[in-house]
Parts: sequence; C-alpha cells; structure tokens
Amino acid sequence: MSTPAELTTALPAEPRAELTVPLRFTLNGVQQHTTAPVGTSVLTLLRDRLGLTGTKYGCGEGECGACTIVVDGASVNACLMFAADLDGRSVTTIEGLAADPRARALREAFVEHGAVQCGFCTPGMMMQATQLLARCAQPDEAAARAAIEGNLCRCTGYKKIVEAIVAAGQAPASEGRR
Amino acid sequence: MNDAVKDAVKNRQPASLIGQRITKLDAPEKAAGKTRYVHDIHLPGQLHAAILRSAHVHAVIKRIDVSRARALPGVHAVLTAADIPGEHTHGIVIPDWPSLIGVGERVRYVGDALAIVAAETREQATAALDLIEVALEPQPVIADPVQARQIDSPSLHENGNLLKHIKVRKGDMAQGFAEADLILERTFHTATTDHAFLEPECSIAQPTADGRLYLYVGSQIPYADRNQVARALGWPDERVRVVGQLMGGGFGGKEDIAGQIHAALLAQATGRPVKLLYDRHESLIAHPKRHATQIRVKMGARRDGRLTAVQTELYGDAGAYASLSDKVMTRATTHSAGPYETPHARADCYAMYTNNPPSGAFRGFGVTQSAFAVESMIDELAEQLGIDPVELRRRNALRVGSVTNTGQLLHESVGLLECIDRVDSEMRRRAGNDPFRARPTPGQEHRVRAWGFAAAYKNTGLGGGAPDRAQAEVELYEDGALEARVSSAELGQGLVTVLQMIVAEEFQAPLDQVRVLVMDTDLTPDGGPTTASRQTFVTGNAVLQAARTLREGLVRVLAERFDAPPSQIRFVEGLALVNGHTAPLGEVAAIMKSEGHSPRALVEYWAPATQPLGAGGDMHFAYSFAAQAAEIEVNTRTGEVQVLTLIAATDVGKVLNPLGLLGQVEGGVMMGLGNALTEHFILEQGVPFSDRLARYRIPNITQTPEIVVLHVEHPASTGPYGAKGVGEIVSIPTTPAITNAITHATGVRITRLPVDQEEIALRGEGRGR
Repeated sequence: MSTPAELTTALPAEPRAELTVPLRFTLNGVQQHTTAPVGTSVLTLLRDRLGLTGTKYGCGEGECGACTIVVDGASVNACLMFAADLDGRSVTTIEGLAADPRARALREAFVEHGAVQCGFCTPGMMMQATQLLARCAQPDEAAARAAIEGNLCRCTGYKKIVEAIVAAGQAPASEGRR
Repeated sequence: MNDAVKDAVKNRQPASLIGQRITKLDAPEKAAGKTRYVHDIHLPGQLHAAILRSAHVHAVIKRIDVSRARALPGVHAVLTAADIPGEHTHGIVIPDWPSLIGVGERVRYVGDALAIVAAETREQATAALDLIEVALEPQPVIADPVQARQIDSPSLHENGNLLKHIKVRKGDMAQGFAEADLILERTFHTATTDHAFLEPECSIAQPTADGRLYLYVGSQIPYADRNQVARALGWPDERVRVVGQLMGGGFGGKEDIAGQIHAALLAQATGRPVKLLYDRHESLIAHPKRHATQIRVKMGARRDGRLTAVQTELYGDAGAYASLSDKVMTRATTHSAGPYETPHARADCYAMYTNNPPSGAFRGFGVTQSAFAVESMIDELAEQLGIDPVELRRRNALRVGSVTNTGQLLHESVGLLECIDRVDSEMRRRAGNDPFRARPTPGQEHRVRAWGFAAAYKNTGLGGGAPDRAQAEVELYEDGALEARVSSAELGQGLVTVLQMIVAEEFQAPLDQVRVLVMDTDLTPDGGPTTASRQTFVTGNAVLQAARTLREGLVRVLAERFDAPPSQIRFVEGLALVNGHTAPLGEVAAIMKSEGHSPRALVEYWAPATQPLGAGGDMHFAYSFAAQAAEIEVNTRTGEVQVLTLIAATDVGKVLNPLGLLGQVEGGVMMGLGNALTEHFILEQGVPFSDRLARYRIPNITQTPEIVVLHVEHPASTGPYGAKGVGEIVSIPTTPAITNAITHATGVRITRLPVDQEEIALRGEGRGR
C-alpha cells in the first residue's frame, strides 16, 4: 500500500502508536468500553487486549478461517476487520458459546465423531457450525459442507467435521441435556 | 460398587479397550476453544521479537549496522551473529544451519536470519528491522538440484553441493534388463510443497530466577530443541527446560529449529521473557519444505508382468541447509522400486544443496515422491503389457518371504495383497469389471470419469541402523490416578489418547483414571523424535513396558501383603483383586509407599535393531502397507479434476483405536489429494512466490470426496498389541491413484506434480465429447 508523502511526514515517529479510537460494543453479551489503535484488527484486539485467545491467528489474510467470529449475526474473519469498525456492534467468540445449547450439542458431536485433531481450526469451525444451526436446526450434509467452505483444516480431511455438524442437528433437543 | 463393577469383578473377564472406538483425550477442551497453544501464552513483562531475514537468495554479507535500530524507543536488544555466546549453527542431522549469518558469511536462501530484535511491542520490533543497514554482495543463484550438480556451479557449502549420494544395489542390472520383454523409461518431477499446518511457529523463552531458561514451544522433538538451544547459549542441556505445548499441526514441519534459538538468545540478552511469533509469510518462507525431486525410472518386465529390473535415479532439492535431507532422500531412494519384489534393483540419489528454502521432514518422508514415480510406471507397464493394473501389482507385490531391494527378508506382517484385494473388490463392486475405462458422465458434456489405482509401503521407525528408543514412565498416585510421562509430541495425531488407552488396558482401569503428560524435558523422559510414524510403535511399546513393570511391582507387594500367589492377583475396573479382597488402585499405591517402594516405573524401550543401507538384513523393523483407488471426473474443456471417491485400505498391524485411525486416513488422503492437484510452493530463482496462504492452495471441503476406509490387520509381533505406524502410509498412494485415474480418463500421462490443468485441457480434449 502506498501512502501520500505529506501524510507520511505527518505521522508520529512511532507508527500507529497513539492514534486510538474509543469503542463501545457488546462482546459475548457484555458491554465493552475500550479503545483501540486505528490500524488494529479485531483479532489483535480480542487476543492481545482483551485476552480472548480462543480465536486463532492462522494467516492474517482471511484465507484459513481460524479466526472466525460472529458480528451482528454474520460470521467474519476477525483478522480482516478493523477493531474501530466494531463500534456499536455485537460480537460472539468461541468463549461466548460456553452456555449456548446448540454449541454444546456441537461440542459433544465434534468429540464423539472425531472432528477434532490438532484443534487449531476447531474454534472457527465451531463458530460457522453454530451459525448454521441457528439458521437451520437440522442441516443436511450439503448445508454442513457449504457452511465450512471458508475454513481450512489440515488434519481431518473435513469428513468428520461434516458428520459432527449433521449429527449435532439430529441430537435430541439441546435443552435439558447435560 | 455399582453393578457394572460388581459384574466385572465377579466375571473377572476384563473387556479389552484395544480396538475400541475411543474419543480423543484432548478433544473436549479443543472443541471449547480452551486449549492453550504457545501463542496463547502471555508472560508478565514479555517482550516481542522480530527477525531480519536476508530477502536475498544468495549473497555474502559485507556489513551489518544495527546502531539505529538499537536506539529506537522500546527496543531492548538487537543481536547479530557476533552476539551468540555458544555454537553458531544448528541442525538435527548435520549442524550446518547458521542461527544468524555474520559479516563475511554467506546467506544461502531468502529466509536466512541476519539480526534479531526484542522490543516492548511487536510493532516496535518490526519497525526496528527497517533501521538495520545491511550491505551485501549478491552471488549467482542455484535454483535446482540438477543445476547444483553441474561441475561449474558455485559451491554453497565447504564440501560442495552434494549433500549425499545414496545408493541401492541388488542383483545385476544388465541381467535384469536382458531378461525383460518390455523396458520402459520415463522421468518424473515433483514440486516443493509446504506443510501448511494451521498454527504458525511460536516460541516463548523465559529466563528464570535460578539462572535457567524455560522454552514454551510446539516442537516434534523437545529434547533436540533443548540440546540445540543449550548449545547456542553455551550451556549444559539441563539448564534449558523445554515446556512443549500442544501443536496446531506439524506433519514433519516442526522438527527443525524455527525461532527457539532466537527467542532464547534475546531472553538471555534482555533478562525478560521473549515471544517470537512467525506470521504466515515468515512461516512459509523460513521453514523446511517437502523436497522437489526429479526421478527417472527405468523398469523392465516379462510378458507375464513380473518385474525383472527397476533402476531409478533421483535428484532431491535439499535447499540451503541439511535439515533431514540425508534421511528423507534415503527413504525416497530405498522405496523407489515400490512395494514390489524385483530380482534386480539399482537406485542412485543425489541430495543437492541449492539456494531454495531447506527441505526436511514432511509426512511421507520422501516416499510420497518416489511412490508417484513408480506407481505411474507400474500403470504404464500394465497398459503396454495388456494386463489389468491391479493384477500386475498383485503379481509383484511384496509378501511374506519376499526380499526387498535393500536385501531385507520380510518374515511377517505384510498385508499388501489383502489391501490390494480389498480395495479392488470394493472398487469393482461400485464400478463393475472395467473400472479403468474412461466413461463420459451421462448428460454432461466435456466430463469424463475413470478410476485409478496405486499401492505403497512405508517403514515404521527410524531404521537404517539408527538406535530407535524411547523412555517412558508410569506412576500410580494415592488418589488412584495413573500417569504416563514421555516427551513425545502430540501434534493432533492422537498420541496421548493411544498412550492413555495402553495404560488403561494394562491396569484394566477406567480411561478417565489415566492422564498423560508429554513434551516437558524436566518432567518427562525422552521419547525420541515424533517422526517416521514411530510413536505408536516405539513410545507405545515404552509405555506398555513401563505399565507392565509397574503392574508387576504392584503384584509383588500385594502378593506379600495378602499372602497370595502373584498369578491370583487381578486388576479390574480400577481395583486390585486379591484373595477375595478388593483394593482401589490408590490404596495399592499407599501400600507400596508404606513398604518403601515407589509406585512408579521408568523404562527405556529399544526397538528391534536395524541395519544401515548397504548392509543387507533388516533395514527397518516394520513396514505398513496400503492400496488406494480413486474415481475422478475431469472437465476436459477446463482440465479441472474432481475426486469423487477414494477407497483406502491400510495394513496397520492392529487397529488400536478405529476412530483415531479414521482421522489419520481421511486427513492423510486429503493431503495426498492436495499434493496431486493443487499444492505447489512456487519458487522463482529461489524467491518464493507462494509466500502467503492465498498463493498456496491446500484442499478445502469442496474437494473432499467420499472416502471409504478399510482396515487391514497383519500384526507385527514386536508392535504394541501388534500395531505398526500409520501417520504417513495413508497419504502416500493417494497422489498416484489420482494421477493414474486422470490418465485413464484422458489419455494424458501425468509426469509432473501438481497436475497441470491446462495440459489436461489441451491434450485430453478428445475423450469428453
């Protein structure tokens, strides 16, 4: 990316250091008031400033999906979104799924079906799968496959992940399960 | 006691865990996103590191000036080669890889490190790199291994560019080719590829108050990391503690040093913890790759399809430093006649230094490359002889009593024929009796389908005369918990679950009573490298022996305490049964302690001895075998290939955990599919084009075919419960099964990986109409 010369000279000697913006957003159901440097990604904000490390850095350019989060009901690569753009929005991360009954069914299915190997893609896969179950309670294989098209896994070959997502939809009503 | 326990106690017939579908020990935490990888650790006072890399492919360093970088606010240390207190180079086999390139020295690839920075923030560390001034003198570039061997090529290392000439000799080639009715000769090329594990490398080095250094890292060989870091610091090994963390994939790509030494040097210089995270770009350009190869195969056969001679010549691109090239290319060479018996075999391999990124271990360890070449040739041989390609493989397949090209008599555990037969019958059940004929897809223009077949074998364990051993410790606690301890690495492949099962099996204890501690050089004994599909076999055996030794100790103490013959003592459901008494295991631990015995056992297991290449005899103590068939569809207009079905049969000796095995097979197949169709780490005169994930295409869900997994069990008498290795073999036949299918569908013979879509579209057009 090129920068006009006059802007370059106007920048402070320490790049990006002090240009911050105030932010108010909902994170996993809790109101956040914080600030973030203008160039910071949501991924960096979550991991480095807010200590939520369940969202993974895999590539930093939206290719792998390990940093998938949900912003206002849509899945997003946290590495591609500026933290500043979170203002006024609602964010869910893998940590926010702890009590979600659909996510609980998914977690059990992921374990039961062997959908987890190294586990590094798993938070992103879980976010996509939870989103899918929110839209469609009993997805078929095609829907499950479509849901994780943007997420890479290097260990499982994907088959077990698809099986787990379909099985989670078939699981007995999540309410009241252990 | 609940009813189940009462029944179990009464019947005294413990159910075996081995062969049962067991979910992964570490999966629940991973599914919840709670697992801590290195990058998730934040230590108080932690600094951030950045590395100045050469960016030049080949050059001599004339000057490095770090003064401006040192003056930048927030920067705590800028180090160059002159600041390394101990050894300047590292490397697992040959220590020829400089941790930092000093003035007067040579950079040999773009990833070579010139200076390292520690600063308060990652941004400051990165900014400091821009202030380092480097003067260098560019040198001519050696871009491929054939060029490297030319007499007028510049020498990249003191002893020239030839890292190793590897030879296989069996029989008499002149006789072998004289006996042949048909001789084929062809040259194949395979591409440089990358592991693309999802977790980029990260190391955190932490100086301790007592003058030691803790290193948090995801490493396949924690003890090798400890040794190499200690050497760089000029310390005894014990002063460094590697605290290995669960890894987001490894596949061979986390065996070499990648940041550990740099983080340690900076932590030592600053007295602060230092985190060094590779971003994806840095990960891609810096760490070792799968070797690009050129493989010429000359194959002779009689009219009936029996091989008379196989001669191969391999060039392996070792890249700038040795890494594991010696071993990888040896495996490529010894496996280059395929899983077949041939009376006459000869192979010559030249592992050559070049100015490309170093090549090292990658799942398949060289056999991925030679299997593509030899399986393509076998198919062509079948076609020219008018023999069914499966039948031709059957006629030549290794079996009990065969002698390999390295002179090893196979005396047991050779399930290749069963793998071939099982895949063949499943394929023909689906496709009828003519699976290799091209069939236009009904109702779809320009689309044609066909099946392809391939077989493979792969050694378990280091072999070649290398001592292959693992230490392991099993301890029983007074709360009843059993703990297995070994430094071996969990990369996602499921080792900790296998070890948990083994301990639970030996004590007939519930799985959740067993925990497994791995990868910590202070707390766990050396299990050796996690490589060569060896952990289930070697570490599995070590843990099995440790568990049995401890169990014998418990039996001795119980026999004395309760005055019972040892043969009458049983373990069921976490209880010891003696003379009508039942004692929970925790109580037994207390009894042992009260009598002055320690309720733990440490063993060192040595795998069966092997012979070096050239010595004849057993070069490896076990081999796994596999056959696969792929059905593909080609769009003859675009050349696009879709794999529709993949049938995989693997002889793993004994299935310990079918769920874990399924995961290995399916994941391995997808890696083989990527290797066939999309994966190419593109280098132009040593400069990586594939320097980010968008330019290195690993398969996604849209490419996942139906995968049919068949287990074949020909037990290895020395394996734990009969098991042998599985991690690599599953990936090896996939690529040639796919490329052979493409040939059947289009008539285009694939001699270069990955498959060139345009070539198929151009040359295979006739078939789809």
